[in-house]
Amino acid sequence: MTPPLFAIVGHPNKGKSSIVSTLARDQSVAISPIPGTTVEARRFPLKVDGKSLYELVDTPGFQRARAMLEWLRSRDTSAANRAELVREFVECHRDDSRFSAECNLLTPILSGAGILYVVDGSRPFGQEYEAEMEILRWCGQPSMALINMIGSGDHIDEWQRALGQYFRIVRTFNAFTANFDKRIQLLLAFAQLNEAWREPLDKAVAILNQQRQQQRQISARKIARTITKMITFTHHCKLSNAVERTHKEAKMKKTYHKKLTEMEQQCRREVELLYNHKQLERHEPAFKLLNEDLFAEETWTLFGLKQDQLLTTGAVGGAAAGSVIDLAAGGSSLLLGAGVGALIGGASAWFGADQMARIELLGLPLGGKELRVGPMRNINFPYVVLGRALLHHEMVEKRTHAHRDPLELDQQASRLQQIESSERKALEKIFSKLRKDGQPALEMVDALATAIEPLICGDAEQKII
Amino acid sequence: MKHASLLADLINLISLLKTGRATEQEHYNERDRRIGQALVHLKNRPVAQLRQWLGQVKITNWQRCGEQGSQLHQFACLLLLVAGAVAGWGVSRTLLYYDGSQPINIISVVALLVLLQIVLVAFWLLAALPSRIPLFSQLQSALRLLNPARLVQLLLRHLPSDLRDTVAPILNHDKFSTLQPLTHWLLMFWSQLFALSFNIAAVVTAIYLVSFSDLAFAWSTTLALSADTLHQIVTTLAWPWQNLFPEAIPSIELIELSRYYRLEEGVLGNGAQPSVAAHQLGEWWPFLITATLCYGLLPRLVTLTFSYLRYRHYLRLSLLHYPGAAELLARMNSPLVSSAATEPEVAFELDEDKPSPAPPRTGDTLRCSIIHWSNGNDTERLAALLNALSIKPLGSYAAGGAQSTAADLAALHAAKKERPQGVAIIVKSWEPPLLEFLDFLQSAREIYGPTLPLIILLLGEDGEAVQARDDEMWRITLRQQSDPKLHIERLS
Repeated sequence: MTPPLFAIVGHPNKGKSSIVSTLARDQSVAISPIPGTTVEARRFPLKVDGKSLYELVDTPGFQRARAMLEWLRSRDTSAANRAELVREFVECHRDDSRFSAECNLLTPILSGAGILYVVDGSRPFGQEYEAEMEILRWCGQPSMALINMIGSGDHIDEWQRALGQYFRIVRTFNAFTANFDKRIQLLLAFAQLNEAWREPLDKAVAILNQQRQQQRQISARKIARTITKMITFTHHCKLSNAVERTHKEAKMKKTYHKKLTEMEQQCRREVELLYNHKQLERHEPAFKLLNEDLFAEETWTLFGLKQDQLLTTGAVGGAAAGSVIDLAAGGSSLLLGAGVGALIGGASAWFGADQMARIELLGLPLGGKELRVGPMRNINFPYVVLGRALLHHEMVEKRTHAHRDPLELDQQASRLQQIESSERKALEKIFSKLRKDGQPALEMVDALATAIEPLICGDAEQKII
Repeated sequence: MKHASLLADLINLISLLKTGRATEQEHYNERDRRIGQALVHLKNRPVAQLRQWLGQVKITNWQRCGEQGSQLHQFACLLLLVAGAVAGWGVSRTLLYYDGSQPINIISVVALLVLLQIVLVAFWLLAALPSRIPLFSQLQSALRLLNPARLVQLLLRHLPSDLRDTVAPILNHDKFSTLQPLTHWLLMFWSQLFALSFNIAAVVTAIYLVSFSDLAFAWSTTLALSADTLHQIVTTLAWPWQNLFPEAIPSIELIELSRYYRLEEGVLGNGAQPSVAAHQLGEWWPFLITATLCYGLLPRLVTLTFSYLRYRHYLRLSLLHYPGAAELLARMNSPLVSSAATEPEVAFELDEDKPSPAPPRTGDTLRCSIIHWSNGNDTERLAALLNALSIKPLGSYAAGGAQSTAADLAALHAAKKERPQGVAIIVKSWEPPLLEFLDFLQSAREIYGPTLPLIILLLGEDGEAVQARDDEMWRITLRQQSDPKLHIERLS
C-alpha cells in the first residue's frame, strides 16, 4: 500500500512551510515573510528504516485562484466531473508559467493526497480565499483545515465559520508553539480523513513516541556524563619554584572555569543535535539566561539550591557518610554516626556555600611540585549545572523547527528548587559520592542518568513547573 | 573471521567514536541501523552486539589501532613474564647459593620467599579495596608507585607517537579518567603476572638446585630464638599443608640439629661440623618449596585470576559505558526515523538589482480614481485618510476578492473614463501581493500608459496602523515591478 500523502496547501504566507517544518522537524524549510518563497512542491516523508509511513508535501501558495476557478466553471457540466476537470486544468497548464503554482500544488492532490488547507487565524478572513477553497472542494479529496496562528490577533471564530462551509474538520494548530503532544494529536487527526490511513499513522505515532523517549534517555545520559565530568574535573600545572604559585593560581582558576564552561557548551551542542536543531541561534536574547557565565552570581541564585535546601541536602550527604560508622559499629552507635554526619554535612553546606574548587599544592613522586585546581567541592555546583541543563533541554525539546525568531523564555526560578525532596536526596547521594571519590566512574554516570531521566521526562513536567 | 580481543575492540571503539562524532551523522545513523538490524539476535547482549558491530564497520586504517594495542598488551605481558622469571631465578639462585663452605641460612630464604610475599599480597589486597575508603586511597596512591607494572608505562613513553596515542586512553592512569578502574586493574593484572612468573621461576630454580646439586640448610640468627620457638613458627607456617604433606614440616630434631654458628669454620647446634650432618641439613627443602608454593605461588595465582577477572569485567563495562557507546546501541536497536525533505529547497531569489520603489509623492493634491482591491467600501474615515494623503477621490470601484477577473478589467476601464491624475488602489496590508494582483497592475499600466501614477495604499487591519513587516513585504514585492510611477503609501 502506498503511504498516505498530505498536501499542505493554502494562500501564500499563511504558514504552510512552518507547519511542514514543525511536523517534519526539518529546519531546512525556507520560511520567509516574502510571498512565494516556496516555488516548488517538496516532499517530507516520515521514513522508518527506509519505509515511508506517510508523506507531507509542502506546496507553493495559490497565486491565480480566481482565474483558475473561472476556467473550471466555464467548463463545468456536472458535479461528478469536477475532479476530472481539475485534472484537465493541470494537464493543460503544466507548461504555463502563469499557473505554475496551481499546477504544483494540485499535482499531489490529484495523485491521492489528503488536503491540509492552512490559514492564518491571527488575520481576518477575506473573500479572496473562497476561490481557493472552492477549487480544493472540486478536487474531491479528503480534506482538513488548519488554523495557524502566526501573529497575535484572534480571528479564529470568523475563520471557523468560513472554513466550516468547505471542510469537515477544522483544527487550530500553532506551528510555532505546538509541543510534541499537539503534533501527535494532529497526526491522529489526519487519520480521521481516511480509514485506510489510520494504521500507518498509528504506527508513526508509536514510533515517534518511542523516539522521543529515547531522545530523553540519551539526553539524560549526556547531561549525567557532563555533570560527572565537571564535578570530578581537575586542572594540573607543574611548578618550577614556589614563587610561581601566586602567579599561576589565578591563571589556573580561570582555565579551570573555562574548561568547565566548555564541557557545558559541548553537552548543549550534543543535545541540540539530538533534536535535529543544527542551526540553533546561540546568541539570541532567549538564551541570555543560559549564556550567563556559569559562575556568575545571578546564575547561582537562579539555578542553585536555596539556603534551607542546601542545609538539608548537606545533611543528607553527611548522614550517608556517618552511617558508614554506624554500619561498622554494628548498630551499637545508636545511629550517632549518621546524626553527627548530618550535622557536620549541613553545617559545612551552609557555611561552605561560597566555597568552590580547592587549590592544592602537591608533591610529585619524582620531585618538584604540582598545583591542582579541583575537583569541585561546592555542594551547590552540580545543581546549578543540572538546573541549566534541564532548562536548556526543555527549551530545545519544545522548540519547533518552524522557529526562526528568538524564543520567549519564562524567567522562572530554578526547576530544581521545586523538585521533591526525595528526588533531591537521590541526586545528593550521587553527587556526594562523586565529590568524595573524585572519579567519573562509569556506574555513577548510569546512576545519575537514571536519577535525571524522570526530571526530563513527561511526568516531571507537572512536578517541576 | 578472526575475532579481535576485548581490549582491541575497546581501543577500536574509542577510536571510532572519536572520529565518528560530528561529521556525517546521517551516514553513521544509516550504517549503524543497518548493522543493528543484521545483529538483532544480539539485542539483549549489548557487549556482543558492540563487538560484532566493530567487526562489520569498514573504515580504513582504524582497525590497526586495536590490533596494535592488543599486541602491545601481549608484549607487555611477555616482558613482565620474562622480567618476573629472571627476577625469580636470580633471587632464588642468590638465596640458595651453596658452595659447600657454609650452609644456606633458612631464615633469609623464608624471610624473602615467604614473609615478604605475605606482605606483598597484603599490599595487593590493600590496592584491590575500593579507593573510596579515605585512608586507603592515600595508601593506594603510594602503592601505585611501587607497582612493577609502572615499568611498562615508562617504556611506553619511548614508543612512536601513533602507537602511544593508540593505547593512551587505556593507560591514562589519571585518577580522574573515565577508564581509571580499567587502567587500575590492568596494572594490577600486569603486576600479578610479574609476581606469578617470579614465583614459578623461584620454585623451579629451587627444585632444579635441589635435584641437581646438594644443598645444606641451617638457621642462624643473633636473636635469642630457641629451637622450640622456631619450631612453633615453622609449624604455624606449615599449618595449611600439615595434613596434606606432613613430611614437609621440619621436625624439632631437624631444627635443633640445624642451628648453625659461623664461629671458626662453623658449627651446628650440637657442636658438630655441618659436613657431619650434610644429609639431614638438606631435609629442609620440602618445607622451603611447599612454603614458597603456598605463600608465593598459590596466592599469586588467586590474585592473578582475580585481577584478570576484574580487568575483563571493566573491559566489558568500559566497552558498554564509554561515552557514545549507549548512543551507538540506541542507533543500532531503534528504528531509524527520518522526516526531513528528500530533496533540497529550490532557492527563492529576489532580484536585488531592481530599483527602489518610486519616491514618495510630493506636490499638489491628486485627483484619483479609487479601486478597492479585495476590501470594503468608502467610508467617512477613508475620505479623511485620503485627504490626509493629498488624494482627492473620484469614483470608487471594486476589484479582486469575490470579483471576477473580467470585473477587474472593467473597473480599470471605468476609472480611465474619469481622466484621473492618478489611480489609488487600496489593498489589505496583511494579505500578500499575489501574482494576480501583479497581473492587475500590469493591466492598469497597459490601460493608463507609463506616466499615470499608481498609488498602492496599504490599509491597516481593523483601522490600526500598518505593521512594519507587512509594509516591508509589499515594498520588497512591488520593487520587483521596476515601475517608477508605482508608489506605496500607508493609509493610516
